[in-house]
Amino acid sequence: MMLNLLVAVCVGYVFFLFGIAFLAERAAKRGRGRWLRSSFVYTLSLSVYCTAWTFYGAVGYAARSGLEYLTIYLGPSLVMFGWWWILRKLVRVGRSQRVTSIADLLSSRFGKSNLLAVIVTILAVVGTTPYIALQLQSVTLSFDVFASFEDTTPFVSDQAHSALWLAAGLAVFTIVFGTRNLDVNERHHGVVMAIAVEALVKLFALIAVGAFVVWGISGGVWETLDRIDASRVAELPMNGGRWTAITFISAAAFVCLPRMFQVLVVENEHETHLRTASWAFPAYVLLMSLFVVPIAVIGLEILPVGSNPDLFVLSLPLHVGNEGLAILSFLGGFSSATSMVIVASIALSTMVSNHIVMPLWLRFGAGGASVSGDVRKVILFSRRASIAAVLFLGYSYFVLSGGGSALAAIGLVSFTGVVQVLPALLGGLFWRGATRLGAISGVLVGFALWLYTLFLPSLGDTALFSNDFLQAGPWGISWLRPQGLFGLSSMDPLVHGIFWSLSLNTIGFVFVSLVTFPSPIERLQGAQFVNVFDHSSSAKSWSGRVAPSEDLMVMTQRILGPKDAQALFLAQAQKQGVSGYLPEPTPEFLGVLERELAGSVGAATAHAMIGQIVGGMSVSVRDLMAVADETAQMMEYSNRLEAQQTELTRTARKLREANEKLTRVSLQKDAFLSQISHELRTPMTSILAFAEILRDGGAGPHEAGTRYATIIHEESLRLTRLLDDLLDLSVLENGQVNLNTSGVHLSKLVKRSVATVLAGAATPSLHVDLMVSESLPQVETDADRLGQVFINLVANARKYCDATTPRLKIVSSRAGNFIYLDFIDNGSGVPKDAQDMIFEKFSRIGQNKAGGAGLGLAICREIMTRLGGDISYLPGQGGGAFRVVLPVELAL
Amino acid sequence: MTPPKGQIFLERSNYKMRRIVDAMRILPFVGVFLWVIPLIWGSDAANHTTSSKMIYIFAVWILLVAVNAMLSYLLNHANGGDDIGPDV
Amino acid sequence: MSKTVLLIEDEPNIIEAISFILSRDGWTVVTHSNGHDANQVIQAKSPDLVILDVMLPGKSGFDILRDLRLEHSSDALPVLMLTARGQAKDREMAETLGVNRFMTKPFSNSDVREAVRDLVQQ
Repeated sequence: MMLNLLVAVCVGYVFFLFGIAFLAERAAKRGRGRWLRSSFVYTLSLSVYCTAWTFYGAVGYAARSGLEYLTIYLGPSLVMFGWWWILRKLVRVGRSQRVTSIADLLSSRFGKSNLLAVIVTILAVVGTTPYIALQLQSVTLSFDVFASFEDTTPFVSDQAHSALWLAAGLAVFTIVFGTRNLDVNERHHGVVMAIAVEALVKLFALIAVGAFVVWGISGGVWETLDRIDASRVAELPMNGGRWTAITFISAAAFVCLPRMFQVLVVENEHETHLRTASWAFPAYVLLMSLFVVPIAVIGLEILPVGSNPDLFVLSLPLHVGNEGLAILSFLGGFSSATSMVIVASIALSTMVSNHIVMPLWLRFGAGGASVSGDVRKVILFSRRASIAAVLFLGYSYFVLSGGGSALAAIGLVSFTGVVQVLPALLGGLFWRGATRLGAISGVLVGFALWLYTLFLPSLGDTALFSNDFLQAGPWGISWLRPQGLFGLSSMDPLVHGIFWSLSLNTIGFVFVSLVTFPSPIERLQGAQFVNVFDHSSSAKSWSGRVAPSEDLMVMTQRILGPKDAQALFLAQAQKQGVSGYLPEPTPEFLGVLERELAGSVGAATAHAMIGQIVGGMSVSVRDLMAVADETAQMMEYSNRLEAQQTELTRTARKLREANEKLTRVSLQKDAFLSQISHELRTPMTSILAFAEILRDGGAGPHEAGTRYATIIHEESLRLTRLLDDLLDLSVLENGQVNLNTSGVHLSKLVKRSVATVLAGAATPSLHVDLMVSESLPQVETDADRLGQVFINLVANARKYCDATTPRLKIVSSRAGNFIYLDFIDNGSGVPKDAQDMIFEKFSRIGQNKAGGAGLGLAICREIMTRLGGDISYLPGQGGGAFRVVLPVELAL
Repeated sequence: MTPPKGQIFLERSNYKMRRIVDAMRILPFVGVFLWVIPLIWGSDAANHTTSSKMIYIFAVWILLVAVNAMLSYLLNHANGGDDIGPDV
Repeated sequence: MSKTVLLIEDEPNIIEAISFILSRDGWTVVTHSNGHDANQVIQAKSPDLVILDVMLPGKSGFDILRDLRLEHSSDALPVLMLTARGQAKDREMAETLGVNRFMTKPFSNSDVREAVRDLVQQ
C-alpha cells in the first residue's frame, strides 16, 4: 500500500520535472525566460554538488566520524568565498573560449591537444562511474527502507531491477532535455531549471526532517544540544590531518568534478551570477548541513541498534510513524540522486562524444568534414549514445560491486580521482610556462597513483588487490604497499592517497613543464588563458590562406544547422563589408567560426575540422607574431631591441675598425712622408756637398774634380730613379695605368729579363738556372710591365742573395687557369717576421744597402694586381723565394 | 594624452570598488583561519564540547556568508554590476 | 797634434764629402759605416767629436747616442747629429738624448765646418 503510493509519488514527481523542464525550454525559446537566467537559478543549480551521498550519507558520516562531515561543505564554501581568485577567471576563460567541458578546457589551454582531452575524459569516466552507481544504490536502498517497514513484497523484485528502471528513466530524461540542441550558447535551460527545482526539494526535505527531529522528537534546540554532547558522536575526536585533507579535496573537487564544471562554467549565463552565488551557495550548503548532527544523534538514540545510519533521514520519520515526512524525505534523496546523475551524464557524454567519438568518426568516418553527411546528426547520436553508455556503465558498476558498503566509501575516493586535473587546471590558468607534456605527465602520474593507492584498494578484497597484497605490498616489498608508500604507513589511507597522488602529480606537472618547450599554439593559448582579463577576445590562430569559404559554410551548416550557420556567415560578411553569405576567410572570421563550432563539438574537434578545410593545422611563428597578443608584442619588442642592439654593436665595431684603419693610414702616411724625405735628402746631400766643393774650387787635383762631378751625376740619376718609381707607384695605385697587352711568350720574356739584369755586371755575380717550360701557352698580358716585375725579382736576388755562390732558380708550373713562376735563390731568405712587410713601400730586406728606395716589390705587387695575377713570398724553399701567379687569360 | 594603463589616482567610486574587491579576496583566508581554530582546541572535551564547536563553526559560516553578501551588494552598487576591469 | 773627428755614416758619397771638407780644415777624420758596433768604435778611437747619422744599418743614431750618454766618461764628448729625417720630433728626440748640435741634410759645407769648429773648441 505504502510502497505503491511511493511509486506513484515517484512517477508523479518525474512527470512534474519533465513538465518543468519542458516549460522552461519553451519559455527560453520564446525569449521570455529572463527569470530562467537569474542568479538564484544558477546558485540552485550548483547544488548538484549535494548528491544522495550527501543527502543521506552526511548523517551516516556524522554518526561515524562526528563533525568531520562538515569538511565536505566547508571546502566548496571557501572556494565560493574566494571566487575572485579562481572561479572568476575560470568562468571568463570558459565563456571566451566556448568551453564545453573540463576536458575541453584543458585541451584548449594546452594547444588544443586531443590526447590530453582523451586522458581527462577517461579519468572523469573512471572517477564518476562509481559515483553514479552510488546514486542508483541510494535510491534502491531507500525503496528497501520503505519495504522493510511494510511487510509487502516490493514493487520491484530486487535492487538491480529498480536500479535498472531508474537508470533507464534518467537516460530518457537526460537525452530529451540534455541533447535537444547542440549549441551550448543556448544552454540546457530545461535541465538547469529542473535541477534548481530539485535543489529546493532536497533542501526543503532535509530541513523538514531536521526541524521535525529537533522540535518534534528532541524537544527544542537546547535539549538537542545537550543530547549531542551526551551522545557517542561527541566522543569522536577531530582528526586534524583528515579534516584539512578532506576540506582541501572537496574544495578542489567542487571545481574539478565534471558535473560541477558543467553547472559552474558551461551553463553559466553571466559572470555576475557568480557574485550572487558566492554567498548564496555557502548559505545553501550551510542549511543542508545544519540538521545533520541532530538527525544522526537522535537516530542513534532511538532507532534500534544495527540500523544503517546512512538512511536515518528516511528511517527516523518512518520509525515515529510520520509517513508524509518520510515520503518528502524520499523525494529529497531522489532529487539529489537524479540531479547528480543527469548533470554528470550530460557532462561525461559531452566529453566522450567530443573527444573520443567525434575524432574517431572524423578519422575513420566518411572521410572528412566537408564531404560527408550530416555532422549534426552524428554528433547528436554520439551524445545520446554516450549518455546511455555512461548510465549503463554506472548501472553495471552497481551490479558488479554488489551494492555493498564498499560503495559508500567511494565518495571521497571519487573526489580524489577527479581532483587529479587540479594542478594542470590551476597551472593552465595562472602559469604561462605550463606545457602540454607537463599537464599530460602530471595527470597520468596522479591518475596512476590514485588507482594504486585509493581506487583499487577501495574495491575491497579482489583478485588483483587482495588483503594480503594490501598488507605486504607487491612481491612483499613493504615500502610499495598501496596504503603505505615509501614507509608512510601511519597515515590515514585517504590522506595518504591524497598526499602522494597530488604531490607527485604536481611535481611531475611542474618539472616536465619546465624542461619541455611549448608549441606556438600552446604559447598563444597559454597567454589567452592566463591573461584572459587583459584581452577577452579569443585566439585568432588561423592564417586565412586558401580556406574556401563555401566549404566552411557547408560544414558549419551541418553542425549548427542551416539557419544558424547562414545567419553567422551573413553577419560576418557584413562585418567585413562583403555582400552575400561568404565572408573572406580572414583569421578573425576563422577564429569566430572555430569558437562557434567549439560550442558544439569542443575546441580540439572544431580546430581539427576547420584544419581539414583550411589546410595546415599549425600556427606559424609569423601568425603568432601577428596576433595582437601580449606575448607576441613582447617578443616582437624584445626581438627589435635585440636587433637594434646587434646593429649598434656592429656599427660600433665598424667605427672602431674604421678608426683603427684611419690611425694606421695616418701612421703609414707619416712614415711614408718621412721615408720619402729621407730618400730624397740623402742623394741631395751628396750632390749639394760636392757641388759646393767644386764651386769653391777647393777640389784639388783634376781627377778629384772629375770624380766629384761623377758622384753628383750618379746621385742625380738616383734621385731621378726614385722620382720615377714614386710616380710609377702612384700611377699604379690610382689605377691610371694603361696596359699594352699582346701575346707574350713567358720563357722568352724571363730570359730577356735575366739578361737585362746581368748585363751591367762585369762578371756574372749571380748564376741563374732557367727552368721555365718552353711549352707554356702564350699569355695575353703587358710584356713591359711583366718584364719589370721579373727584372725586379732577379735584381733583388743579385743584390740581396747572401750565399757565397749566389744562384737563382726560376721554375714554372701550371695549375688550372694559372701559371706559376717561382724565383728561388739560395740565400738566407726573408726572415719570417718581415715576410708580410716586404711588399710594403720603403721596406727593405737588410739595411740600407745601395740601390733602390724599397719601392720595388711594392711596385711589383701593384703590377701583378693590375695584370690579374699575384705575387707572394713563398716560404720554406731553402732561400728567398717569390711566386708570380699569372692568369692564362687576362681578364680585364 | 591617454591615461597610462596603471592609473595612480582613481575616482572615488573606483577606489572604493577596489577596496571591496580586496576585502573579497581576503575573505577565504579569513575563513580558513577561523575554521582552523577548532582543530587547535583539540579534544579537550571539558571546555570545548562538540555542540560548542558546532555552534562556533556555524557562526563563522553565517558571518562569512553575511559579509560576502554585503560585499556583493556593495560591489553591485559601486559599479552598476558590470565588468570590473583587469585583475590588478 | 790635430783633433780627431769620428764620422759614423753609411752613405759612401756623404762620407767622402765630409771627410774631404774636414780634412782640408786640418781635422783627422775617422769613419765608420754601421750602427751595431759604433759605441765600441767611439770607445776605441776616443775622438774629440762624433758626427752621427740617424738611419744606420744595425743600430740607429738615436740608440747610439743614448748608450753613449749612459757612459759618464763620455759626458764631455760633443756629438753632431746629421740626419735626412728633418722633422721637429726627430730634433726633439735628439735633444732629449743629449745631442750638442742637430743638423738636417742636405747641409751647406760651411755650416758643418763651423759647427765642428764650435763644438771642439768649447
